[in-house]
Amino acid sequence: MADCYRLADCFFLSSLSEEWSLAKTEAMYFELPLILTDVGGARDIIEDNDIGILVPPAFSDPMEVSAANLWAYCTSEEPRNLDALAAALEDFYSRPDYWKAKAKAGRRKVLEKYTSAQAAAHHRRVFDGLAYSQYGR
Amino acid sequence: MHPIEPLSYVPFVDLMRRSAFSIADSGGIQEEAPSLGKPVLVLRQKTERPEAVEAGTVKLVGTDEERIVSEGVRLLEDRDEYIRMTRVHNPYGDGRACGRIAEAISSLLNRSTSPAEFGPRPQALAEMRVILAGGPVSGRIREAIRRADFCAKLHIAVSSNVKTYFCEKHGVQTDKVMVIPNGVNIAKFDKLAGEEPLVTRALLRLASDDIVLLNAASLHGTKAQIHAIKAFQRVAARCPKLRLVLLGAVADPAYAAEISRAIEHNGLVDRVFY
Repeated sequence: MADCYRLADCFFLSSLSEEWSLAKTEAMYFELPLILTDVGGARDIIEDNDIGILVPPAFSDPMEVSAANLWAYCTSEEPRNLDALAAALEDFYSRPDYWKAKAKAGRRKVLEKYTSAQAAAHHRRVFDGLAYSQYGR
Repeated sequence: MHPIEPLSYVPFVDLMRRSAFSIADSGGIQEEAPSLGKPVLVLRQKTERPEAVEAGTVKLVGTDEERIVSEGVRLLEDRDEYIRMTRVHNPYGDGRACGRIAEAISSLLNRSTSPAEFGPRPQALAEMRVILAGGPVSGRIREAIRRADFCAKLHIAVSSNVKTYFCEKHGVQTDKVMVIPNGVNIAKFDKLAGEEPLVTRALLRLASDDIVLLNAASLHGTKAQIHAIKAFQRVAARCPKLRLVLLGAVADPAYAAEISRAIEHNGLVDRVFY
């Protein structure tokens, strides 16, 4: 995977739904600009298009994608966000150096907030807090 | 012999369940068929799943025609051999991992002495219970979430979108949900930093001045790679150096086939690599 992040210029996901997406966080660590649909953790890591471009999700309610409607959604040739996805690709293509420079902040964000050690420590703090009943009182 | 189009996952598993045995070079089948108690003859010299060969649920028969036929006939005619291959221990587990994980967490929280890496354990941890929830939401899970919310002090969501979902769709109180994102194991990448890359642009037939988009996600409908391909096709003429690399495990063979079709249908075989 590291090789693939290294050879790429941009990380691009058009997902209908995600919980968090670790891959995009890994791409940040490799300083790749991101083009992501606004699902899962995308809006938590792209703030004002700082390290990439946030595109509206394909359907108004991405969390309601279910087994019954998934196939129709994911094979749709005309998703609602197609113009926005295409515009994001063109924006990136027209100024890759600009986006690459911006994406350097992605690695800093990972080091500051999104390492597995920090995630584990965060859980630990919350569990400890709960255990001492400091939470929820 | 009936050649068929790729099936989606559940019908495929059903077909496997109803078969006597499988002949395959697929890695997934080597894991899945033993879970259904079905032998697999693997048309390879080597496999990256040696556990199944050792356990005896899978047999490597190579690509020699006579060997494949004789092993196949043996399974059909030699009842003892067939039963032996179906009854051996499945090295990939018994499908009860979730229960064991829940038990492990529960025992960890209730132990009188906690593992050293956890540091001193607050006494109150003994009264703490953790419920793990995730996956597609059926009516039964909705009810479970409602009950869990009733007794939970705190919910942990992995992203703000997931938090919004639980609050808006399941009526969970906003101030009871905390967002703790997943984190990158940076040590894993740092360890590889000085090493010669195994995958290069040249290997993927990409030029050094190509502008490469990477889509790293399992090949499954929720990842909607077809939308990425359609967007790419929209701008393809105006962005001649643009390339798209789709990288991911096949989670749904039917969707993976649909992705190939979309690449061909949109005339992008030279620009979208899959």
